[in-house]
Amino acid sequence: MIVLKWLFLTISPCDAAEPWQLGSQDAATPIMQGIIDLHHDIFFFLILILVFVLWILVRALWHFHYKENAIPQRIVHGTTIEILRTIFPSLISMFIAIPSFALLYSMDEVVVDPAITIKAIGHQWYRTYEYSDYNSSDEQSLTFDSYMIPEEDLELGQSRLLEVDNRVVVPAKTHLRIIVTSADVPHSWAVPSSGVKCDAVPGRLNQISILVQREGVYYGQCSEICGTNHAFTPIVVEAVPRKDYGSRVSNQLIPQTGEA
Amino acid sequence: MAGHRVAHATLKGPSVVKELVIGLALGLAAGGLWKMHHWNEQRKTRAFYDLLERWYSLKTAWMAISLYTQK
Repeated sequence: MIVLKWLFLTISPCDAAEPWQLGSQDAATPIMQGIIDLHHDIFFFLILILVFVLWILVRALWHFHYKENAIPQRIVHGTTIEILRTIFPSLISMFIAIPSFALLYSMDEVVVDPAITIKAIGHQWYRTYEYSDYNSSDEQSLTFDSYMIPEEDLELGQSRLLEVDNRVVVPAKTHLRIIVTSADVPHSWAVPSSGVKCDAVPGRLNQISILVQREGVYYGQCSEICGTNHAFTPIVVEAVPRKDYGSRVSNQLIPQTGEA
Repeated sequence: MAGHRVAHATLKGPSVVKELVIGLALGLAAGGLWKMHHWNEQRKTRAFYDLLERWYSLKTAWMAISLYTQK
């Protein structure tokens, strides 16, 4: 137990933007893992073509430098090479398209019976989250607002422009449905480590299905220009163990619903 | 002067096929290095989730034993 715990302390997942970051954040959902794998597939072809073209370019400059080769050749066509340079790019495009379409259509798969539905409503400049699964008849949904914590109120270890006062608490390893909309101007609900970016359009309900594979805290930011404080409306999703989810949600919402 | 042979560049031109093959080989080698990096990343991710599953199983077993011994 202790050994396993120690091993985990040495692993720190990247679930928020880091300074000078080059690659993606660590995947927390199967969708994000698929996106990363697709990127790796395409990058292989990118490197292949880059190295090949650079080699041919350098060798052409080397062989046909005016001091080495005073009389230029006058080649007007070459059927074989023209056929090859048509077929190979088509094959490469096909090899890229296959995994790309596979991922695209799998991302569009709608989970028929998600365990939990959460509504994320964008405002200028905060978020409102509604948990409506626990209503009975005319009861009001469990609702709370999520504002960014200003820089002067941050505690040691917290991230600037990323922390919020009320996080979205979700159970890990559970199918979730997030319905995204807006109350005023377009926003976008984006969490990079979950591979999610969904536009919040006023008058429209957009739906996404996610399955968070591991517990943790995942950070995102508004991704559609929405006014002067667009950069100051972050999203924080906290994935907790399933057995703790109920108590976490009710504890979080007691101050708000207690007065209702 | 008209009688002298003038060496023409095309007689000593590079082999297009050779350059294409070398370029392709280099490209595949570089792409192969990237693929190795990708497979290594996949292996680390799989190992992480396997370790996580083992942690959950051990934790559940530990809690069950604790509950039983408390009774």
